[in-house]
Amino acid sequence: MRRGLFIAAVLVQALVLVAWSASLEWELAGAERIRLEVVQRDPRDLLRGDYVSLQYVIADIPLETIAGGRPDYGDRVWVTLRLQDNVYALAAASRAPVTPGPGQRVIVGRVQSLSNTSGRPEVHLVYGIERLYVPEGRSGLPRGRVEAEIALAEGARPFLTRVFVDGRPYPSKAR
Amino acid sequence: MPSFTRRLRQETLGWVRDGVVTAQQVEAILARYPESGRWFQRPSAIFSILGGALVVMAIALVIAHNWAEIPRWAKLAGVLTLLLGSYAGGLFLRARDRGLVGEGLFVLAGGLLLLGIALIGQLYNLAGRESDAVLLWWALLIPAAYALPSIALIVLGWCGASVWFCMFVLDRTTWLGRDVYANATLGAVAFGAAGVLVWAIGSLHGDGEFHRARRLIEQLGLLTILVAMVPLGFLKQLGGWWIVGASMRLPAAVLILLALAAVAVGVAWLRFPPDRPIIRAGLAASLLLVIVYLLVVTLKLVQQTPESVYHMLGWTNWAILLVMALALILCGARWDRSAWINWGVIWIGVDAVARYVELVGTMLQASALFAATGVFVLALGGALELLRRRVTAKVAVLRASA
Repeated sequence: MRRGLFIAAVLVQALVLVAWSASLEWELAGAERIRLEVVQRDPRDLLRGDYVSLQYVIADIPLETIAGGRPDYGDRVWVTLRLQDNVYALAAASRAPVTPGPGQRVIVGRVQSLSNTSGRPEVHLVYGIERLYVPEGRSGLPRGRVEAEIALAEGARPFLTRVFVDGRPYPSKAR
Repeated sequence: MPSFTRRLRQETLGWVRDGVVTAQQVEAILARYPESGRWFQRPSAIFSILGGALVVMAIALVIAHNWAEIPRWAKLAGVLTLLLGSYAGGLFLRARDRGLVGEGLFVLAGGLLLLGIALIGQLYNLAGRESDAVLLWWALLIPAAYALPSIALIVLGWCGASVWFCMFVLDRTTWLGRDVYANATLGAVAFGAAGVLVWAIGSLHGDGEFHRARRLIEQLGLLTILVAMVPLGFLKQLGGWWIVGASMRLPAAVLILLALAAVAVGVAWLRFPPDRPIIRAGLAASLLLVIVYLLVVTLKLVQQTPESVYHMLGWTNWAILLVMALALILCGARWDRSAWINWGVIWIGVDAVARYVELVGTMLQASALFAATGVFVLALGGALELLRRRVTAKVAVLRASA
Protein backbone atom coordinates (compact mmCIF):
# COMPACT_ATOMS: atom_id res chain seq x y z
CA MET A 1 0.00 0.00 0.00
CA ARG A 2 2.78 2.41 1.01
CA ARG A 3 4.83 1.39 -2.00
CA GLY A 4 1.82 1.98 -4.20
CA LEU A 5 1.33 5.46 -2.73
CA PHE A 6 4.99 6.27 -3.28
CA ILE A 7 4.88 5.12 -6.91
CA ALA A 8 1.74 7.20 -7.44
CA ALA A 9 3.47 10.28 -5.94
CA VAL A 10 6.51 9.75 -8.20
CA LEU A 11 4.28 9.39 -11.27
CA VAL A 12 2.55 12.65 -10.31
CA GLN A 13 5.97 14.38 -10.31
CA ALA A 14 6.75 13.08 -13.81
CA LEU A 15 3.25 13.91 -15.05
CA VAL A 16 3.49 17.47 -13.71
CA LEU A 17 6.73 18.06 -15.62
CA VAL A 18 5.32 16.54 -18.82
CA ALA A 19 1.95 18.31 -18.53
CA TRP A 20 3.61 21.66 -17.77
CA SER A 21 5.89 21.36 -20.79
CA ALA A 22 2.98 20.22 -22.97
CA SER A 23 0.79 23.13 -21.84
CA LEU A 24 3.57 25.60 -22.60
CA GLU A 25 4.04 24.07 -26.06
CA TRP A 26 0.28 24.26 -26.62
CA GLU A 27 0.15 27.92 -25.58
CA LEU A 28 3.13 28.81 -27.75
CA ALA A 29 1.68 26.98 -30.76
CA GLY A 30 -1.46 29.12 -30.75
CA ALA A 31 0.14 32.38 -29.62
CA GLU A 32 0.47 35.46 -31.78
CA ARG A 33 3.99 36.85 -32.21
CA ILE A 34 4.81 40.53 -31.64
CA ARG A 35 8.05 42.43 -31.27
CA LEU A 36 9.11 44.66 -28.41
CA GLU A 37 12.06 47.01 -28.26
CA VAL A 38 14.79 46.16 -25.73
CA VAL A 39 16.65 49.06 -24.13
CA GLN A 40 19.03 47.43 -21.68
CA ARG A 41 20.76 44.12 -21.40
CA ASP A 42 23.14 42.87 -18.75
CA PRO A 43 24.66 39.52 -19.47
CA ARG A 44 24.98 37.32 -16.39
CA ASP A 45 26.34 33.88 -15.67
CA LEU A 46 24.66 31.46 -13.29
CA LEU A 47 25.31 27.87 -12.35
CA ARG A 48 22.15 26.74 -14.04
CA GLY A 49 22.92 28.33 -17.36
CA ASP A 50 24.10 31.42 -19.08
CA TYR A 51 21.37 33.87 -19.78
CA VAL A 52 20.96 37.39 -21.00
CA SER A 53 18.93 39.75 -18.86
CA LEU A 54 16.58 41.94 -20.87
CA GLN A 55 14.73 45.07 -19.98
CA TYR A 56 11.95 46.49 -22.10
CA VAL A 57 10.82 49.97 -23.03
CA ILE A 58 7.35 49.04 -21.79
CA ALA A 59 8.72 47.98 -18.39
CA ASP A 60 8.72 51.51 -16.94
CA ILE A 61 5.29 53.12 -17.02
CA PRO A 62 4.30 56.54 -15.63
CA LEU A 63 1.96 56.11 -12.69
CA GLU A 64 -0.62 58.50 -14.13
CA THR A 65 -0.95 56.24 -17.18
CA ILE A 66 -2.35 53.37 -15.11
CA ALA A 67 -6.14 53.41 -14.89
CA GLY A 68 -7.65 52.11 -11.67
CA GLY A 69 -5.43 53.84 -9.14
CA ARG A 70 -1.97 53.22 -7.74
CA PRO A 71 -0.99 49.54 -7.83
CA ASP A 72 0.85 47.76 -5.03
CA TYR A 73 3.92 45.52 -5.23
CA GLY A 74 3.06 42.27 -6.94
CA ASP A 75 -0.22 43.55 -8.44
CA ARG A 76 -0.94 42.66 -12.03
CA VAL A 77 -1.19 45.41 -14.63
CA TRP A 78 -2.68 44.95 -18.10
CA VAL A 79 -0.70 46.95 -20.66
CA THR A 80 -2.27 47.81 -24.01
CA LEU A 81 0.19 47.96 -26.93
CA ARG A 82 -0.06 49.47 -30.40
CA LEU A 83 2.21 49.03 -33.39
CA GLN A 84 4.73 51.81 -33.81
CA ASP A 85 7.76 51.58 -36.15
CA ASN A 86 7.47 47.78 -36.49
CA VAL A 87 7.47 47.18 -32.74
CA TYR A 88 4.68 47.37 -30.20
CA ALA A 89 4.78 50.29 -27.80
CA LEU A 90 2.80 51.43 -24.78
CA ALA A 91 -0.68 52.78 -25.49
CA ALA A 92 -2.41 52.47 -22.12
CA ALA A 93 -2.31 50.52 -18.86
CA SER A 94 -4.92 49.34 -16.42
CA ARG A 95 -5.22 47.45 -13.13
CA ALA A 96 -8.14 45.48 -14.58
CA PRO A 97 -8.25 43.23 -17.64
CA VAL A 98 -8.97 45.15 -20.84
CA THR A 99 -10.11 44.24 -24.34
CA PRO A 100 -7.71 45.51 -27.02
CA GLY A 101 -8.97 47.71 -29.80
CA PRO A 102 -8.31 47.13 -33.53
CA GLY A 103 -4.59 46.68 -34.16
CA GLN A 104 -3.85 46.64 -30.43
CA ARG A 105 -2.50 43.87 -28.20
CA VAL A 106 -2.58 43.36 -24.45
CA ILE A 107 0.25 42.01 -22.28
CA VAL A 108 0.06 41.39 -18.54
CA GLY A 109 2.87 42.26 -16.13
CA ARG A 110 3.45 42.43 -12.41
CA VAL A 111 4.57 45.46 -10.37
CA GLN A 112 8.12 44.99 -9.11
CA SER A 113 8.91 48.48 -7.89
CA LEU A 114 7.64 52.02 -7.62
CA SER A 115 10.02 54.91 -8.15
CA ASN A 116 10.13 58.65 -8.53
CA THR A 117 12.36 59.38 -11.52
CA SER A 118 13.02 63.12 -12.02
CA GLY A 119 9.97 63.96 -9.92
CA ARG A 120 7.68 61.71 -12.01
CA PRO A 121 6.27 58.65 -10.25
CA GLU A 122 6.86 55.48 -12.24
CA VAL A 123 5.98 51.84 -11.96
CA HIS A 124 8.44 49.14 -13.01
CA LEU A 125 6.74 46.03 -14.37
CA VAL A 126 8.10 42.56 -14.99
CA TYR A 127 6.45 40.34 -17.57
CA GLY A 128 8.31 37.05 -17.03
CA ILE A 129 10.19 37.53 -20.31
CA GLU A 130 13.31 39.18 -18.94
CA ARG A 131 15.67 36.23 -19.47
CA LEU A 132 16.99 34.62 -22.64
CA TYR A 133 18.83 31.39 -21.90
CA VAL A 134 21.74 30.86 -24.27
CA PRO A 135 24.32 28.12 -24.77
CA GLU A 136 27.37 28.36 -22.55
CA GLY A 137 29.67 31.18 -23.53
CA ARG A 138 27.14 32.91 -25.77
CA SER A 139 25.84 35.49 -23.28
CA GLY A 140 26.65 39.10 -24.13
CA LEU A 141 24.53 40.73 -26.78
CA PRO A 142 26.44 42.42 -29.60
CA ARG A 143 25.90 46.12 -30.22
CA GLY A 144 22.89 47.11 -32.27
CA ARG A 145 19.14 47.56 -32.12
CA VAL A 146 17.72 44.76 -30.00
CA GLU A 147 14.18 43.50 -30.39
CA ALA A 148 12.48 40.59 -28.65
CA GLU A 149 9.90 38.34 -30.28
CA ILE A 150 7.13 37.65 -27.79
CA ALA A 151 4.38 35.08 -28.10
CA LEU A 152 1.17 36.33 -26.52
CA ALA A 153 -0.82 33.38 -25.23
CA GLU A 154 -4.29 33.15 -23.75
CA GLY A 155 -4.93 35.71 -21.02
CA ALA A 156 -2.29 38.12 -22.38
CA ARG A 157 0.48 35.96 -20.92
CA PRO A 158 3.76 36.58 -22.76
CA PHE A 159 6.54 34.12 -23.66
CA LEU A 160 9.97 35.12 -24.94
CA THR A 161 10.74 33.12 -28.06
CA ARG A 162 13.60 34.90 -29.84
CA VAL A 163 15.80 37.97 -29.69
CA PHE A 164 16.98 39.91 -32.75
CA VAL A 165 19.98 42.21 -32.99
CA ASP A 166 19.79 44.50 -36.03
CA GLY A 167 17.20 42.15 -37.52
CA ARG A 168 19.32 39.00 -37.09
CA PRO A 169 18.33 36.27 -34.57
CA TYR A 170 20.54 35.95 -31.49
CA PRO A 171 22.20 33.58 -30.80
CA SER A 172 22.82 32.97 -34.47
CA LYS A 173 21.72 29.28 -34.38
CA ALA A 174 17.95 29.52 -33.62
CA ARG A 175 16.43 27.04 -31.14
CA MET B 1 21.86 9.25 23.55
CA PRO B 2 22.52 5.51 23.78
CA SER B 3 21.07 3.33 21.05
CA PHE B 4 18.05 1.15 21.72
CA THR B 5 20.20 -1.98 21.78
CA ARG B 6 22.63 -0.52 24.26
CA ARG B 7 19.82 0.59 26.56
CA LEU B 8 18.19 -2.80 26.24
CA ARG B 9 21.45 -4.49 27.24
CA GLN B 10 21.69 -2.26 30.32
CA GLU B 11 18.05 -2.77 31.33
CA THR B 12 18.11 -6.56 30.91
CA LEU B 13 20.84 -6.83 33.57
CA GLY B 14 18.27 -5.58 36.08
CA TRP B 15 15.59 -7.91 34.69
CA VAL B 16 17.79 -10.96 35.23
CA ARG B 17 18.71 -9.77 38.72
CA ASP B 18 15.01 -9.29 39.57
CA GLY B 19 14.10 -12.67 38.14
CA VAL B 20 11.85 -11.24 35.40
CA VAL B 21 13.63 -13.17 32.66
CA THR B 22 16.44 -15.76 32.54
CA ALA B 23 19.88 -15.10 31.11
CA GLN B 24 19.11 -17.35 28.10
CA GLN B 25 15.96 -15.38 27.35
CA VAL B 26 17.96 -12.15 27.50
CA GLU B 27 20.39 -13.50 24.90
CA ALA B 28 17.49 -14.42 22.64
CA ILE B 29 15.97 -10.94 22.99
CA LEU B 30 19.28 -9.19 22.30
CA ALA B 31 19.87 -11.36 19.23
CA ARG B 32 16.70 -9.89 17.68
CA TYR B 33 18.12 -6.35 17.93
CA PRO B 34 21.73 -6.41 16.80
CA GLU B 35 23.74 -3.24 17.32
CA SER B 36 23.58 -1.47 13.99
CA GLY B 37 25.24 1.82 14.83
CA ARG B 38 23.83 5.25 14.03
CA TRP B 39 23.02 5.62 10.41
CA PHE B 40 25.53 8.36 9.83
CA GLN B 41 28.35 6.31 11.27
CA ARG B 42 28.10 3.93 8.35
CA PRO B 43 30.27 5.03 5.43
CA SER B 44 27.72 3.76 2.91
CA ALA B 45 25.04 6.16 4.18
CA ILE B 46 27.27 9.22 4.06
CA PHE B 47 28.84 8.37 0.73
CA SER B 48 25.55 7.50 -0.93
CA ILE B 49 24.01 10.84 0.07
CA LEU B 50 27.12 12.74 -0.99
CA GLY B 51 27.42 10.78 -4.20
CA GLY B 52 23.78 11.46 -5.06
CA ALA B 53 24.26 15.17 -4.48
CA LEU B 54 27.41 15.27 -6.63
CA VAL B 55 25.69 13.49 -9.51
CA VAL B 56 22.82 16.00 -9.28
CA MET B 57 25.32 18.85 -9.55
CA ALA B 58 26.96 17.19 -12.54
CA ILE B 59 23.63 16.88 -14.34
CA ALA B 60 22.81 20.48 -13.39
CA LEU B 61 25.97 21.63 -15.16
CA VAL B 62 25.10 19.63 -18.26
CA ILE B 63 21.71 21.32 -18.31
CA ALA B 64 23.32 24.70 -17.66
CA HIS B 65 25.62 24.22 -20.64
CA ASN B 66 22.41 24.44 -22.65
CA TRP B 67 23.22 22.31 -25.68
CA ALA B 68 21.32 23.98 -28.50
CA GLU B 69 21.78 20.90 -30.73
CA ILE B 70 19.61 18.71 -28.51
CA PRO B 71 15.86 19.18 -29.10
CA ARG B 72 13.66 20.29 -26.21
CA TRP B 73 11.75 17.07 -25.95
CA ALA B 74 14.99 15.04 -25.84
CA LYS B 75 16.34 17.09 -22.93
CA LEU B 76 13.12 16.70 -20.99
CA ALA B 77 12.89 12.98 -21.77
CA GLY B 78 16.47 12.54 -20.57
CA VAL B 79 15.79 14.19 -17.22
CA LEU B 80 12.54 12.26 -16.77
CA THR B 81 14.28 8.97 -17.50
CA LEU B 82 16.95 9.72 -14.94
CA LEU B 83 14.30 10.83 -12.43
CA LEU B 84 12.17 7.71 -12.74
CA GLY B 85 15.25 5.49 -12.92
CA SER B 86 16.64 6.94 -9.69
CA TYR B 87 13.38 6.37 -7.86
CA ALA B 88 13.16 2.82 -9.22
CA GLY B 89 16.76 2.14 -8.23
CA GLY B 90 16.13 3.43 -4.74
CA LEU B 91 13.07 1.19 -4.37
CA PHE B 92 15.01 -1.80 -5.69
CA LEU B 93 17.85 -1.32 -3.21
CA ARG B 94 15.40 -0.76 -0.39
CA ALA B 95 13.66 -4.05 -1.18
CA ARG B 96 17.06 -5.79 -0.99
CA ASP B 97 17.82 -4.43 2.47
CA ARG B 98 20.21 -1.78 1.13
CA GLY B 99 17.98 1.04 2.28
CA LEU B 100 20.75 3.45 3.20
CA VAL B 101 22.32 3.31 -0.25
CA GLY B 102 18.84 3.63 -1.71
CA GLU B 103 18.44 6.89 0.19
CA GLY B 104 21.26 8.30 -1.92
CA LEU B 105 19.31 7.49 -5.07
CA PHE B 106 16.24 9.15 -3.59
CA VAL B 107 18.30 12.31 -2.96
CA LEU B 108 19.41 12.12 -6.59
CA ALA B 109 15.80 11.79 -7.73
CA GLY B 110 14.71 14.70 -5.55
CA GLY B 111 17.46 16.85 -7.02
CA LEU B 112 16.50 15.76 -10.54
CA LEU B 113 12.95 16.94 -9.95
CA LEU B 114 14.28 20.42 -9.19
CA LEU B 115 16.50 20.23 -12.27
CA GLY B 116 13.48 19.23 -14.35
CA ILE B 117 11.64 22.33 -13.19
CA ALA B 118 14.71 24.48 -13.90
CA LEU B 119 15.07 22.84 -17.33
CA ILE B 120 11.52 23.79 -18.31
CA GLY B 121 12.29 27.35 -17.20
CA GLN B 122 15.36 27.34 -19.41
CA LEU B 123 13.65 25.75 -22.43
CA TYR B 124 10.82 28.28 -22.47
CA ASN B 125 12.79 31.31 -21.19
CA LEU B 126 10.53 31.62 -18.17
CA ALA B 127 11.49 34.48 -15.83
CA GLY B 128 8.76 34.42 -13.22
CA ARG B 129 9.17 34.31 -9.44
CA GLU B 130 11.87 31.82 -8.55
CA SER B 131 10.10 31.10 -5.28
CA ASP B 132 7.24 29.61 -7.31
CA ALA B 133 9.61 27.07 -8.84
CA VAL B 134 10.91 26.07 -5.39
CA LEU B 135 7.32 25.84 -4.11
CA LEU B 136 6.41 23.47 -6.92
CA TRP B 137 9.48 21.41 -6.13
CA TRP B 138 8.88 20.78 -2.48
CA ALA B 139 5.10 20.50 -2.91
CA LEU B 140 5.69 17.55 -5.28
CA LEU B 141 8.51 16.08 -3.21
CA ILE B 142 6.88 15.96 0.22
CA PRO B 143 3.99 13.56 -0.61
CA ALA B 144 6.43 11.04 -2.14
CA ALA B 145 8.74 11.44 0.87
CA TYR B 146 6.02 10.64 3.39
CA ALA B 147 4.39 7.91 1.30
CA LEU B 148 7.43 5.63 1.46
CA PRO B 149 8.69 7.04 3.95
CA SER B 150 12.19 8.22 3.12
CA ILE B 151 13.99 10.28 5.76
CA ALA B 152 16.39 11.70 3.16
CA LEU B 153 13.53 12.92 0.97
CA ILE B 154 11.68 14.30 3.99
CA VAL B 155 14.76 16.30 4.99
CA LEU B 156 15.24 17.47 1.38
CA GLY B 157 11.59 18.45 1.12
CA TRP B 158 11.66 20.44 4.34
CA CYS B 159 14.92 22.14 3.32
CA GLY B 160 13.15 23.12 0.11
CA ALA B 161 10.18 24.44 2.10
CA SER B 162 12.54 26.51 4.28
CA VAL B 163 14.32 27.99 1.28
CA TRP B 164 10.95 28.70 -0.35
CA PHE B 165 9.67 30.52 2.74
CA CYS B 166 12.79 32.71 2.93
CA MET B 167 12.43 33.59 -0.76
CA PHE B 168 8.70 34.19 -0.31
CA VAL B 169 9.19 36.58 2.60
CA LEU B 170 12.02 38.50 0.91
CA ASP B 171 10.17 38.93 -2.41
CA ARG B 172 8.14 42.11 -2.11
CA THR B 173 5.83 41.07 -4.95
CA THR B 174 4.30 38.27 -2.86
CA TRP B 175 1.41 38.89 -0.49
CA LEU B 176 3.62 38.24 2.54
CA GLY B 177 6.67 40.00 1.14
CA ARG B 178 4.57 43.08 0.54
CA ASP B 179 3.74 43.33 4.28
CA VAL B 180 7.36 42.74 5.26
CA TYR B 181 8.61 45.32 2.78
CA ALA B 182 6.34 47.91 4.42
CA ASN B 183 8.14 47.35 7.75
CA ALA B 184 11.20 45.15 8.21
CA THR B 185 10.21 44.19 11.77
CA LEU B 186 7.35 42.21 10.31
CA GLY B 187 9.95 39.96 8.71
CA ALA B 188 11.04 38.82 12.17
CA VAL B 189 7.39 38.41 13.15
CA ALA B 190 6.74 36.29 10.04
CA PHE B 191 9.73 34.06 10.78
CA GLY B 192 8.67 33.73 14.41
CA ALA B 193 5.18 32.65 13.39
CA ALA B 194 6.60 30.26 10.81
CA GLY B 195 8.91 28.78 13.45
CA VAL B 196 5.98 28.02 15.74
CA LEU B 197 4.02 26.56 12.81
CA VAL B 198 6.93 24.34 11.78
CA TRP B 199 7.53 23.17 15.36
CA ALA B 200 3.85 22.27 15.69
CA ILE B 201 3.90 20.39 12.38
CA GLY B 202 6.98 18.54 13.58
CA SER B 203 5.26 17.62 16.81
CA LEU B 204 2.35 16.14 14.86
CA HIS B 205 4.70 13.45 13.50
CA GLY B 206 4.54 11.69 16.84
CA ASP B 207 6.83 8.95 18.15
CA GLY B 208 6.06 6.27 15.58
CA GLU B 209 7.81 5.68 12.26
CA PHE B 210 8.24 9.41 11.69
CA HIS B 211 10.00 10.11 15.00
CA ARG B 212 13.24 11.03 13.25
CA ALA B 213 11.38 13.49 11.04
CA ARG B 214 9.68 14.87 14.15
CA ARG B 215 13.03 15.55 15.80
CA LEU B 216 14.46 17.30 12.75
CA ILE B 217 11.42 19.43 11.99
CA GLU B 218 10.90 20.41 15.64
CA GLN B 219 14.50 21.56 15.81
CA LEU B 220 14.10 23.55 12.60
CA GLY B 221 11.09 25.25 14.19
CA LEU B 222 12.93 25.99 17.44
CA LEU B 223 15.90 27.45 15.57
CA THR B 224 13.60 29.66 13.49
CA ILE B 225 11.75 30.94 16.57
CA LEU B 226 15.05 31.79 18.26
CA VAL B 227 16.41 33.57 15.17
CA ALA B 228 13.23 35.64 15.00
CA MET B 229 12.82 36.43 18.70
CA VAL B 230 16.38 37.61 19.43
CA PRO B 231 16.32 40.65 17.08
CA LEU B 232 12.80 41.53 18.27
CA GLY B 233 14.31 41.94 21.72
CA PHE B 234 16.35 44.84 20.33
CA LEU B 235 13.38 46.82 19.00
CA LYS B 236 14.16 49.82 21.17
CA GLN B 237 17.87 49.88 20.37
CA LEU B 238 17.50 49.53 16.60
CA GLY B 239 15.87 52.90 16.35
CA GLY B 240 13.19 54.56 14.29
CA TRP B 241 14.01 53.10 10.89
CA TRP B 242 13.36 49.62 12.26
CA ILE B 243 10.08 50.52 13.85
CA VAL B 244 8.50 53.05 11.57
CA GLY B 245 7.89 52.14 7.99
CA ALA B 246 5.68 53.68 5.35
CA SER B 247 2.08 54.37 6.36
CA MET B 248 1.10 51.02 7.77
CA ARG B 249 -1.98 49.20 6.65
CA LEU B 250 -3.06 46.07 8.45
CA PRO B 251 -0.59 43.31 7.45
CA ALA B 252 -3.21 40.69 6.60
CA ALA B 253 -0.68 38.11 5.42
CA VAL B 254 1.26 38.25 8.69
CA LEU B 255 -1.94 37.99 10.72
CA ILE B 256 -3.06 34.95 8.73
CA LEU B 257 0.31 33.32 9.37
CA LEU B 258 -0.03 33.99 13.10
CA ALA B 259 -3.53 32.49 13.08
CA LEU B 260 -2.27 29.38 11.27
CA ALA B 261 0.50 28.97 13.82
CA ALA B 262 -1.99 29.28 16.70
CA VAL B 263 -4.27 26.65 15.16
CA ALA B 264 -1.30 24.35 14.55
CA VAL B 265 -0.29 24.59 18.23
CA GLY B 266 -3.84 23.66 19.22
CA VAL B 267 -3.77 20.61 16.98
CA ALA B 268 -0.24 19.61 18.02
CA TRP B 269 -1.32 19.69 21.67
CA LEU B 270 -3.47 16.64 20.91
CA ARG B 271 -0.33 14.70 19.88
CA PHE B 272 1.79 15.52 22.92
CA PRO B 273 2.85 12.43 24.87
CA PRO B 274 0.39 11.33 27.59
CA ASP B 275 0.97 13.25 30.80
CA ARG B 276 -0.84 15.39 33.34
CA PRO B 277 -3.11 17.91 31.57
CA ILE B 278 -1.40 20.86 33.23
CA ILE B 279 2.00 19.85 31.82
CA ARG B 280 0.64 19.42 28.30
CA ALA B 281 -1.32 22.66 28.52
CA GLY B 282 1.72 24.48 29.92
CA LEU B 283 3.85 23.72 26.87
CA ALA B 284 1.06 24.68 24.48
CA ALA B 285 0.46 27.86 26.46
CA SER B 286 4.13 28.87 26.25
CA LEU B 287 3.99 28.56 22.46
CA LEU B 288 0.75 30.50 22.31
CA LEU B 289 2.46 33.14 24.43
CA VAL B 290 5.00 33.56 21.63
CA ILE B 291 2.14 33.98 19.14
CA VAL B 292 0.41 36.56 21.34
CA TYR B 293 3.66 38.47 21.72
CA LEU B 294 4.19 38.52 17.95
CA LEU B 295 0.60 39.68 17.47
CA VAL B 296 1.07 42.53 19.93
CA VAL B 297 4.29 43.60 18.17
CA THR B 298 2.43 43.59 14.84
CA LEU B 299 -0.48 45.64 16.13
CA LYS B 300 1.83 48.15 17.85
CA LEU B 301 3.73 48.60 14.59
CA VAL B 302 0.49 49.31 12.73
CA GLN B 303 -0.57 51.82 15.37
CA GLN B 304 2.96 53.35 15.34
CA THR B 305 3.01 53.72 19.11
CA PRO B 306 5.80 55.61 20.95
CA GLU B 307 9.22 54.01 21.42
CA SER B 308 8.59 53.52 25.15
CA VAL B 309 6.14 50.74 24.27
CA TYR B 310 8.93 48.90 22.45
CA HIS B 311 11.06 49.13 25.58
CA MET B 312 8.32 47.22 27.40
CA LEU B 313 8.06 44.73 24.55
CA GLY B 314 11.81 44.16 24.82
CA TRP B 315 11.41 43.10 28.47
CA THR B 316 8.48 40.89 27.49
CA ASN B 317 10.61 39.27 24.80
CA TRP B 318 13.26 38.36 27.35
CA ALA B 319 10.68 36.90 29.74
CA ILE B 320 8.94 34.88 27.02
CA LEU B 321 12.23 33.40 25.79
CA LEU B 322 13.01 32.31 29.34
CA VAL B 323 9.54 30.85 29.95
CA MET B 324 9.62 28.99 26.64
CA ALA B 325 13.12 27.66 27.34
CA LEU B 326 12.08 26.39 30.77
CA ALA B 327 8.97 24.75 29.31
CA LEU B 328 11.13 22.98 26.73
CA ILE B 329 13.59 21.77 29.36
CA LEU B 330 10.90 20.52 31.73
CA CYS B 331 8.82 18.80 29.08
CA GLY B 332 11.92 17.47 27.39
CA ALA B 333 13.00 15.84 30.66
CA ARG B 334 9.54 14.34 31.28
CA TRP B 335 8.99 13.07 27.72
CA ASP B 336 12.55 11.94 26.99
CA ARG B 337 13.12 14.53 24.25
CA SER B 338 16.76 15.44 24.70
CA ALA B 339 16.74 17.85 21.73
CA TRP B 340 14.24 20.05 23.56
CA ILE B 341 16.48 20.15 26.62
CA ASN B 342 19.46 21.10 24.46
CA TRP B 343 17.52 23.85 22.71
CA GLY B 344 16.12 25.13 26.00
CA VAL B 345 19.66 25.52 27.31
CA ILE B 346 20.74 27.21 24.06
CA TRP B 347 17.81 29.62 24.29
CA ILE B 348 18.74 30.61 27.84
CA GLY B 349 22.36 31.08 26.79
CA VAL B 350 21.50 33.18 23.73
CA ASP B 351 19.02 35.22 25.75
CA ALA B 352 21.66 35.87 28.39
CA VAL B 353 24.19 37.02 25.79
CA ALA B 354 21.59 39.22 24.10
CA ARG B 355 20.67 40.89 27.36
CA TYR B 356 24.35 41.34 28.20
CA VAL B 357 24.85 43.07 24.85
CA GLU B 358 21.75 45.14 25.42
CA LEU B 359 22.96 46.05 28.94
CA VAL B 360 19.58 46.47 30.57
CA GLY B 361 19.68 49.65 32.65
CA THR B 362 23.07 50.33 34.30
CA MET B 363 25.81 47.71 34.67
CA LEU B 364 24.82 47.20 38.29
CA GLN B 365 21.20 46.63 37.32
CA ALA B 366 22.27 44.18 34.61
CA SER B 367 24.49 42.43 37.16
CA ALA B 368 21.51 42.05 39.52
CA LEU B 369 19.46 40.64 36.66
CA PHE B 370 22.12 38.07 35.77
CA ALA B 371 22.62 37.11 39.41
CA ALA B 372 18.90 36.58 39.93
CA THR B 373 18.58 34.55 36.74
CA GLY B 374 21.68 32.51 37.57
CA VAL B 375 20.36 31.65 41.04
CA PHE B 376 17.01 30.71 39.54
CA VAL B 377 18.62 28.42 36.95
CA LEU B 378 20.79 26.76 39.62
CA ALA B 379 17.71 26.21 41.76
CA LEU B 380 15.93 24.76 38.74
CA GLY B 381 18.80 22.35 38.16
CA GLY B 382 18.58 21.26 41.78
CA ALA B 383 14.83 20.77 41.51
CA LEU B 384 15.25 18.64 38.37
CA GLU B 385 17.84 16.48 40.14
CA LEU B 386 15.47 16.00 43.11
CA LEU B 387 12.70 15.04 40.68
CA ARG B 388 14.96 12.51 38.98
CA ARG B 389 15.96 10.93 42.31
CA ARG B 390 12.33 10.75 43.43
CA VAL B 391 11.30 9.00 40.21
CA THR B 392 14.23 6.57 40.43
CA ALA B 393 13.45 5.80 44.08
CA LYS B 394 9.79 5.16 43.23
CA VAL B 395 10.81 2.69 40.53
CA ALA B 396 13.17 0.91 42.94
CA VAL B 397 10.37 0.59 45.53
CA LEU B 398 8.05 -0.87 42.90
CA ARG B 399 10.70 -3.42 41.94
CA ALA B 400 11.33 -4.40 45.53
CA SER B 401 7.60 -4.89 46.29
CA ALA B 402 7.18 -6.99 43.12
